Amino acid sequence: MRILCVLFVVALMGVWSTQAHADTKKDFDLLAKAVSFIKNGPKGDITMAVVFDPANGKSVSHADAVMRIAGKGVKGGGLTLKAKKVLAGSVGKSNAKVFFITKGLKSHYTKVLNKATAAGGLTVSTDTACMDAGACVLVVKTKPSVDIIVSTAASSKTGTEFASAFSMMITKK
Amino acid sequence: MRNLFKISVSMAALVFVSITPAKSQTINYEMMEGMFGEPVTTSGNGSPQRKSQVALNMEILTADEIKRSGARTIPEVLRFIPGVDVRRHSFGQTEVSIRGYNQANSERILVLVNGRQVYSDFFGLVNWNNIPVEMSEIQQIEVVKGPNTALFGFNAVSGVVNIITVDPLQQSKTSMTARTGSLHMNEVSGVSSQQYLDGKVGVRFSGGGYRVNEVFDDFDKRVAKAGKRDSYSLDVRTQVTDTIQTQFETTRNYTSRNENLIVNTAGAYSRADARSIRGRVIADTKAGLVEADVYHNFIKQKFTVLSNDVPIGVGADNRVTVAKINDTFEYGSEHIFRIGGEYRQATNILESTAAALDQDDLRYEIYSASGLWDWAVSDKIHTSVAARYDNFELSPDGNNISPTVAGLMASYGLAHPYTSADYFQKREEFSYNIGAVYEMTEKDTLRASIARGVDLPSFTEFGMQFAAGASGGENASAMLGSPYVDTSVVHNFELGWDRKISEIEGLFRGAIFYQYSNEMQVLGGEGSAILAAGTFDQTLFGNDGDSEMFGAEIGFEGKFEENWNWAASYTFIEIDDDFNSTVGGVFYSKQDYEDSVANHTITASIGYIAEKWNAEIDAQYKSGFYGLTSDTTTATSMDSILTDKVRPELMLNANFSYHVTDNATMSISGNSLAGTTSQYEGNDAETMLYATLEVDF
Repeated sequence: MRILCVLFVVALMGVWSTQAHADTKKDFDLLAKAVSFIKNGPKGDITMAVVFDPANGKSVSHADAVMRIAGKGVKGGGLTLKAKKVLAGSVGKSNAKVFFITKGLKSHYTKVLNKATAAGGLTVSTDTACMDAGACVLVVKTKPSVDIIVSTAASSKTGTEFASAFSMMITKK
Repeated sequence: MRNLFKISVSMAALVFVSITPAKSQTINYEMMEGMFGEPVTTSGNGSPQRKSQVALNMEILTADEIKRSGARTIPEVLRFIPGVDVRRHSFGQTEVSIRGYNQANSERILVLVNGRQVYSDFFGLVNWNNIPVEMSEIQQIEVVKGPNTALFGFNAVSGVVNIITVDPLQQSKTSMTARTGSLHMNEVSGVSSQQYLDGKVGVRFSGGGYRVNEVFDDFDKRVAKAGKRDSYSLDVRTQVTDTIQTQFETTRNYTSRNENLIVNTAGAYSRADARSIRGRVIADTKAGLVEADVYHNFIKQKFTVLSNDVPIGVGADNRVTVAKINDTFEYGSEHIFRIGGEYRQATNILESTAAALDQDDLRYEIYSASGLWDWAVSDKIHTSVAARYDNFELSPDGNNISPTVAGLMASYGLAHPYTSADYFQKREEFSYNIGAVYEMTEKDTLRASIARGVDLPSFTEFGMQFAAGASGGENASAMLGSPYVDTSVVHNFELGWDRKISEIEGLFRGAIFYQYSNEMQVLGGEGSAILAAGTFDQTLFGNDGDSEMFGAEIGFEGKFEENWNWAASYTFIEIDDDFNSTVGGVFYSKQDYEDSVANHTITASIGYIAEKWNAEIDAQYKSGFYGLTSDTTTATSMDSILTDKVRPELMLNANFSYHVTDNATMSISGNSLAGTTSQYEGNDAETMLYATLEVDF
């Protein structure tokens, strides 16, 4: 009983910390599985264009990190996302349907979203700034807790719909 | 029944017709758990939810947790959940309750397999061994504490246990299990879950059985026998299109067991043959997720008991048909709605070799309408409101009033209290669940819920007919069901707090709750009387008085040093009954829930997971309580029913598993390792040891 009391006190202690975290394989596993729930969505091996701005150090670092994790492919839900770096200025020439928006790409948000729409695809990221700007259809994060967020505005623009059972469990903004 | 069978066969034939590339629309529990880092469920409010967002108090046991526990049966897995009370009466008979009110054949808990009820309306009971599920095919077990009739219908008043099996469209598994152990028990089981036709068809087939030689010294040898179980289940699911999935399922389970009955201390033996057939269609449409489900359960049960030292047989033929349809859809980004309708029909026919024991042949029909509104008020607040309307109609189905009972009463100048016309009854009931979840911080989640649940009387409570002549100084008597026994309403209020604790890599869970049940169903209700100048006891089922329950649960779970995991909990439950029935100035009703609950329960578990082996020890201390028993081998009147003390007990279970190869695991496990345990007012539960070999293919 004493041990339970001590643990109860531990539970009452308020400890809060927020930390930015680097992407991990878990983020991309989650991303692949989330993409697999798109109605009439892409299947099999899928090229994921990792869009970056070479003039923006944050964007370059993020793109390099993504390639380290997902460059050889990330499987989930019956599909494989194969990351490929694409310059933001050349995104119009890409044949991809999934566009990963790196950090610091704010000035290219609209162009990438329009390209994804035209390609019948979607924009994704692990950067919530993209979601807040309405430029990313799907954002995933695994720290401090798992969350899958869909932008209703962006998904409406790209025509992206998710399977109902999955859609009911994710956050929509 | 024939039309239902034809429909089901037609649905099964869809397996081979118009197959297109597949994407499953039902929940892939295993995948979702991996994605969200926590189990997902639909048992909270009917819509898919992450466990942390369920407003009700829910525990989910995953397949890994079930396997590591080494538990042979579902009740043994449930035993260590805070608030769940498991009492082993015999090898094949276990009674499970949630937050008090544990009694033999409790009708307050609803048990489902993939949403299909496996509860028997005859006596209002769940025969856990009669559930056609093998432990190795369970994906997860969801335990909802508190009323949830708004979602599941009548009798989900103490709680709900929903057993989810692996989905053959989404999960592949083939395994065989062989086990031997105490009481000369030998058991085999197997499950195969595979996909065919490029993943468009999934077939799950499982089967198993055991033989056990259990002998109670105080059971009469004319009724006590060895126990056994044989079971199979076939589940065929088809992804007809990207958005339409069908399911066909058939099951059969035969179980025989020694049975401990309150009114018969010489023991009893029961056999149960349960069959089911089911067809289901799920479609992801523009109108939402639409599900149509039809199933038929057929349970034939036979009991052999002693009456005046003569073995008599009692059999019940209980059939239930359920047809339901519901649509779950999103409205905007914040709202989920669910509307549904259900039709349920049940019949019960009882046969007895003793003319003095009979039951009216009865049927009921229930027409139900339900609705749900789930609102994501903000990123941190979710609310859920579910409501249900049930229209219940009871009617006689053939033979009614027992001529033997009526004749005996007539010999004392008494008329049977009812006629056939009395058995046409209607009830209308309304139930609801209102809940809210507030993610106060990244670590703290608060839950609040209010519920109104409804407990429907069983066929026995409506229509039992039992009479006995005067003997041994006791009056002649009749124990009768009543068509006027009413539903009992349960109100539940609960607050809960979950806190993630990074220091222990785990969490704290706490809850306080209050429950009020009114008009409880009792044996010894209104109309019970000592008649014919004090020579004849008439005891009727009825409603009498109220019962309050107050309790709290505190629990911790965590991990340390990478391989260790642990859990500890304390549950406090206090019940206060207020029953009023008196006969001749003597308090008559024998229901005694306040003394039959163990007020204090402490549970602790510790486990170690290594690469080649794992071990787990589970302990539970339960404070003493009182149970109902009889002072004669066969109770024929309320005067024979007594209460008896059950001592406080320490229950110790353990499991050690060694992975001989990547595919084969040997396990040694045991129950009641601290010695025999007194789990109820009858025979003690002996220490049980098992050796198990499981091979995955």
